[in-house]
Amino acid sequence: MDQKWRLFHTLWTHRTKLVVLMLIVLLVAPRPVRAQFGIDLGAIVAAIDSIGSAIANTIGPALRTMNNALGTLNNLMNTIQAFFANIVYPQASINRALSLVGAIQGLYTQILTTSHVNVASATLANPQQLEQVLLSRNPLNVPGVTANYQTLYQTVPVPQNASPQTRDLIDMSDAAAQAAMKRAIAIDAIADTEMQAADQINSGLAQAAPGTAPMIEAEAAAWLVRANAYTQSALGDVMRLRAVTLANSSAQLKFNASNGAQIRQNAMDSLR
Amino acid sequence: MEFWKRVFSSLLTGKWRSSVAIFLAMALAFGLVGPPPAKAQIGAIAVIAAAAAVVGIITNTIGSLLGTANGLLSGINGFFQALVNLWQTVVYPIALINQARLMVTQLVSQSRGLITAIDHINVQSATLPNPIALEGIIRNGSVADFGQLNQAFYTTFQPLPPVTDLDPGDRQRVDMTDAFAMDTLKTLKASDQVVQQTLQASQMIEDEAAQTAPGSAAFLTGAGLVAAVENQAMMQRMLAAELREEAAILAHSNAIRKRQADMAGQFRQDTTTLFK
Repeated sequence: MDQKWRLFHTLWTHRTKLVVLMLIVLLVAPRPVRAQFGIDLGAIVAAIDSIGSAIANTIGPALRTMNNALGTLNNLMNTIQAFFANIVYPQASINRALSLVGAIQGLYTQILTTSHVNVASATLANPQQLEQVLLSRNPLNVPGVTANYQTLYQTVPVPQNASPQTRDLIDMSDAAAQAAMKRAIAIDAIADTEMQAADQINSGLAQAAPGTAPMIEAEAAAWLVRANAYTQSALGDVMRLRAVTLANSSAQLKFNASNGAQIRQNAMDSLR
Repeated sequence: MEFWKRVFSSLLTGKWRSSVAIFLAMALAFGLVGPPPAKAQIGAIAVIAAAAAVVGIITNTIGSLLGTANGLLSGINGFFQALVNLWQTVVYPIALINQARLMVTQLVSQSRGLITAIDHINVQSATLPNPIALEGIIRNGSVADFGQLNQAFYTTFQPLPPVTDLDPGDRQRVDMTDAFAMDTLKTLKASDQVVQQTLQASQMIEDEAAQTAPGSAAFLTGAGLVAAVENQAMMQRMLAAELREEAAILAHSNAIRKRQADMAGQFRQDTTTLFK
């Protein structure tokens, strides 16, 4: 049999299967698509070209400008960084300053020791006791001043031994002297507190950064103002005491004048 | 043609009819349930429209945004340039930084030697051996020779009278007055030493100021302020010593007045007893 007829016969024998297969293929297989060719291709290429042109003409120059600007910005940032690192905050200079603060701390320690040196000089028991209280730098000892003072300098004379005016004068002078001694204890204690604060501030300064050093500086300035005020206060105490001393010597002249007048009067009375 | 007719009729009428019907039903069901075939490439007109839309977005939206971003970037650049100019020419001009350092150096060379020389002018004026010794001790700024000070003080101003020569109360008061005088002299010796240490601190700060940078100057200012606080504390100690001294002078003169009152009372008592 001819080969063509044999193939046909085979197909005919399996016709049912072939029909089923063809139907399945027709239903399942995707439909044929139109590929790009002809006039469509040109239009699509032109459209893509227009996108490319838009990118090249709009985005490209803008990005180039941006790059230039960022380059300039980068240079500026580098300039600023170098300026601050080399001129404003050079590390070597900061280290030297910190080392100086440490060296000065050593000097303060010496000053503190020197300021606490014992200057007591009295040799007898009562003076020694008063001197010890006065040099104690302890405000809790202030109430003890009066008893020690009266032991050494005595109390106001009894009314039989002195006129009321003399007793007033003595009492006022004693009061001024005792108050001054008590203030001396308080001022010493204040000075101690200030020295401790100065030490603490200096320690803070030794650990500060250039940016925080002005904060420590502000605290030091506050303490300086406070210390100035206490110095002024101490000076005021000295002036008050001198004013009482001056008034005391003036009162003595007044008493002498009064006594002279009394003697004159007594003499005249005795000659009558 | 005849062949196809026979095939078709055999499918519709023969023993294949039921099989074909089942197959068609299944194919129809599959067609309804199965996913529809996708369309591949859309038409060229749609592509061109989409491309035009993209171009429009690039030109009108992205281009405009990039233009704005560039404007902002240019503004930031201008700001930083102005900041650099401000720091370099107004806040921290290098010329003025160097000028400040030069000023410190000039002040050091002009004043330091002069002021030190003035401070060291010898003012000692005693002419006799004992006062010369005492004067030397009270002006040497040492806190290690207080024993010698006591000795020189008593040699010059006389020691405390023996018990037999002075009333016990007066003797104690004389001892107290001497003690206050010596306390003050000792405090002044300590103060003189502290003055030298404070001057040393000021010199160290000044030396560093000659080479400091604007960013490290705050440390020096802080150190100076702390030194000033310490200095004020020492001033207060001196004022306290002066207060004690002045108070002792007043108390002493007041005690003489009390003693006179006591003596007057005693005299009155003795006179009364005498005329009894």
